[in-house]
Amino acid sequence: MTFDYMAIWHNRDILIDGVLTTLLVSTIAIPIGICIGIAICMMRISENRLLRWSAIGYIEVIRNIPFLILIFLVFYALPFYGIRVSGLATGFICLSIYGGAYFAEIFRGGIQSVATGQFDASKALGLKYSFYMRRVIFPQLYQYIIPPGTNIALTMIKESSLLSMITVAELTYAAHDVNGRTFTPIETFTTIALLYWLISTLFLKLTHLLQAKFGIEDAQDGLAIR
Amino acid sequence: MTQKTAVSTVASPNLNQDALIEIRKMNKWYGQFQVLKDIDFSVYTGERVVICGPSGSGKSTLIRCINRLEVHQQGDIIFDGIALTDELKSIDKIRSEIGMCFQQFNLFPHLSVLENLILAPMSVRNLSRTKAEELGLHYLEKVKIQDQAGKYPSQLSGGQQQRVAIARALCMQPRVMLFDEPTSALDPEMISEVLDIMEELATEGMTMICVTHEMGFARKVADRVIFMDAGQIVEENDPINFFDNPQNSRTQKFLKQIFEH
Repeated sequence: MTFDYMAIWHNRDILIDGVLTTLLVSTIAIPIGICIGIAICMMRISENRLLRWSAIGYIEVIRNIPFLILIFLVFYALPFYGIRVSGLATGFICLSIYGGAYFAEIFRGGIQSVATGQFDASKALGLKYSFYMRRVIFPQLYQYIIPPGTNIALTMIKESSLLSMITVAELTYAAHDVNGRTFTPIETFTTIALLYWLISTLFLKLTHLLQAKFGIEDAQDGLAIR
Repeated sequence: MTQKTAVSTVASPNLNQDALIEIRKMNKWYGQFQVLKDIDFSVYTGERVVICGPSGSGKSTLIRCINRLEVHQQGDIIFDGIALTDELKSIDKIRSEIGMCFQQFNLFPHLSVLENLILAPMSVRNLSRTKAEELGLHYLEKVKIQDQAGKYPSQLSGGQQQRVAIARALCMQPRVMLFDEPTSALDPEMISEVLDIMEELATEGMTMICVTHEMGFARKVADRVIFMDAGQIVEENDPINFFDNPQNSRTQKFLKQIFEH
């Protein structure tokens, strides 16, 4: 049983483009997803019933349908209402929306983990809600949200492979492309498994740096955000 | 059913002026459970009031209603002429006039001692950083902890943390200080350093409402001692009469338990 490395090597451009597209979609969707998550979380914990129920609705829907169905709805169903979105744009939008729902719940869990005494002290001093959320509560969230947050981000990177189903030329699509040309499924899919593994591992290394910065409660650093 | 057997209130320092805090027929429920019953209670500027009672008597809930950390369902709570209601837009402003110290200190762990103190004066009173730090150091000196200004709360003992918490509340120069069992979470040897500060504050004329089990402190410092049980004010009197001549049998039972310890 020989491994036809050359088939892969000759088509490395296609695979490299695939990697870049996967990275592009992920590096844009993850921060946007985090922003959406913060916004939805604030709505979720709001005293305003309309905001709260809207957030709950959003979270319940997005978390309970498969990501694939979400991207099919946007890519295939929206055109019937006159909204035509490109595959790549669908990728950005759907992956961000998907991540946003999970990030929202992670942030909410983090806020609930911060001792109620911190809220009491902030209120007792007469601090405004927006001020103390930003300067007292958020800085204390990191230890609670970084571990589950990195898990969600990693999931998003892997879920991006489903974008191949709507013609986005990311890594999985590239693999199908190469396989179609060379008929080497073992080599091709093994290679992209390796490439996904590389992307994930590099991402995790980055998060270790992040955790080192926030995870350990180092008094000398100070976590105050100015 | 809600028979209040309150003894006559003692003459307070400034009876001629309006009360700083007035609570009238206040009732509060947690769901079906009534936690405060027909509370009638006034505090005048300059008064030192101690509230004592068994666990679950509602004393913490009562003082938490004063700065609206808890919300009451019936009756009035009036601070400096302003009624605390749901329609109130400026609860933050009112809270900035009321200082509070908690049993668990509740210092901000990610900020240094000095940063803990200057956060509110800078944000709420719009002080410049320099002025706020000056103020912070002044109050740190007052609570005898100025050399710890750069430390973080986790590096301090419980007694030190509580003194920082007191300084933090004082930096807002409040009209009244609320203390919610400030020494209950402290090791015995640290209790006196905190009580000393509170005594000093009292002698300087700070209006205080203090929920505490420290009866020695109450005897020494209070103008009025209030006993609460099962959500009601059962008895109130000046310290001498309260401790030496309790009128109500529940008060007598409570004091007996405390002093037999």
